[in-house]
Amino acid sequence: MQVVNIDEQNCKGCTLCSQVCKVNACTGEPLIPHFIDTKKCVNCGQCVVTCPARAAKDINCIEEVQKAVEDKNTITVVQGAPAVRVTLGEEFGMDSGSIVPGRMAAALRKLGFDRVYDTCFAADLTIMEEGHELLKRVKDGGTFPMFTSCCPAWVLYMEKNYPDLLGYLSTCKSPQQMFGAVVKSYIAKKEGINPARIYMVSVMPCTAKKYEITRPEMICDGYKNVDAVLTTRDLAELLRKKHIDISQLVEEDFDTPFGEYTGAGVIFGATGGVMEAALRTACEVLDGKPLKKLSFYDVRGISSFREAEVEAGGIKLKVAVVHGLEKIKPLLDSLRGGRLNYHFIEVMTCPEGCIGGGGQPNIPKKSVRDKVIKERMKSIYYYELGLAKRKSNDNPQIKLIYEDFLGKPLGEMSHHLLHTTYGSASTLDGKK
Amino acid sequence: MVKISFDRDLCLGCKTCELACAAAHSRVNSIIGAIKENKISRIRIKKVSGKIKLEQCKLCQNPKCIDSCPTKSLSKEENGTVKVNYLTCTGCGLCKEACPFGAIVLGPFPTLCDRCAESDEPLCARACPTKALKVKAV
Ligand code: SF4
Ligand code: SF4
Repeated sequence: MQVVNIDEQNCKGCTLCSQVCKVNACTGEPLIPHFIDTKKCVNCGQCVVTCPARAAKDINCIEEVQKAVEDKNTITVVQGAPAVRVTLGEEFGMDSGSIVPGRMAAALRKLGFDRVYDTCFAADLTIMEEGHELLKRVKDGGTFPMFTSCCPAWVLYMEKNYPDLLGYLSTCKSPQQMFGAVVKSYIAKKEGINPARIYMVSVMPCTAKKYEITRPEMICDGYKNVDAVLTTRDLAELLRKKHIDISQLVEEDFDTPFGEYTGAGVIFGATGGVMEAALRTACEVLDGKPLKKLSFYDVRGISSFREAEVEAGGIKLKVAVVHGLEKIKPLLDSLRGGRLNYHFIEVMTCPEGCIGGGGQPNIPKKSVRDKVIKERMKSIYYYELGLAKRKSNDNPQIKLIYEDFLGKPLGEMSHHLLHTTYGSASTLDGKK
Repeated sequence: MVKISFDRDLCLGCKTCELACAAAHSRVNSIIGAIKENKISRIRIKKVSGKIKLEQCKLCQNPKCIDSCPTKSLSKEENGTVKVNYLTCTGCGLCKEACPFGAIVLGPFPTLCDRCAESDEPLCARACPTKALKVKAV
């Protein structure tokens, strides 16, 4: 499904969008309306956040969400992504990087959602699965490097351009999808609700997530994991429509059980975050004793390629972090040509990760964007420091859900709900 | 008279206005035409000591360029724009030096913004995606 389009009527042909599109899908002559080559487009939405004329747009489902919320028969469940908590405030005139998870929860409750959860919980869950997948590959001598699979635009890029390398991707679903799968099975069973009545909404910093929920792999036991996605911009629009100004709200907590999360889940929002979170858990398991140092500064930062070597339990893990698709291409090419000497590589399509995502508030001006992104990144790590627990495996709800329902990481149940294999997009395209 | 206002805070430096201007003044109204005919844009977005600046004829009351021209080739039109008489202009460049706004570039004759007198709206303003350039009638 194509999520991002350019409205020819509004396009001024300023070429800014084609400058940020790293897969050359967005092209055109100066002064003449631009267009998107859907064969190449990965729905990352970078053109949308950049377009000063609001001509590049993503499809939205604000009305469907509103209808579902008003419908008494559906139980609407909402999850908010880690990166949204440092950007939503900007839409309401707050300083860039304002930390607003509490206000976001309050606003979502005001909108009428029945359960207000936090995607950070699912990020913790992803780390448990992905971390153990890495450990399994280390123990059993599996294929290396393992690539993260949280970023749907990146997965689509692989499917479109490097279908032969799909085996290197982690089999984990993204946190958004894991959350949906768990809510429609675990919560449905625990509270005795028919999953068909659950309408799962997620608030995401990303336009590609709108594409991800439509994938055939993301249907579990006949139910779509997630039913609708609102980007940060969409949520702000919906709130404004209802005259809710989040800067005026009193902070509230997320609902339990899935409102509980750790710092590891929060840093998913910035580039290097998934890697750092995974290292915390993987190193602890390898060492067999609690970690002394929780911060891995080598994988933080804003340079578009970073690498680090981490030793734990006598094993040297070589890891790398990439953001922006132009930087991953040479790595994939050398992997095709032979070997790539890494264990684990985190890839994010958007520059600076989800805090710079395609669903975030529009900032066409590059110099302003750079400043704002720095603030957002500072806020994410600052917020994380203040949380009581900073490792995914310390999240009490995570422990509980494994005891109660999932069994163990990579177990039968989690395999059924939380893992998948990719490749349908390329075959779909081939059939067209 | 048509003036154009410029909002520095809105300007992205994308230079769409420059392209639109060059294209508008080419014979075939396209960028290719502008390139082939070596058209110079009559509006320029520049960065001067870290700040974005606009160079464009400001339609002065008593234009210094007209005073400085030794061959009296420049004259003021009814709509306020400055016109060049190509038959007498020698391309000496004294007008360019006289202009306090850096609005004149020689190519080889002085090129001055004519507010797109031939079309109904200055095309730079129409092309600007953020409306940093706005048309004002005074
Ligand atoms: S950024 Fe917007 S206005 Fe500029 S060329 Fe792209 S779609 Fe058109
Ligand atoms: S959504 Fe991303 S890939 Fe598609 S045209 Fe826009 S910038 Fe390019």
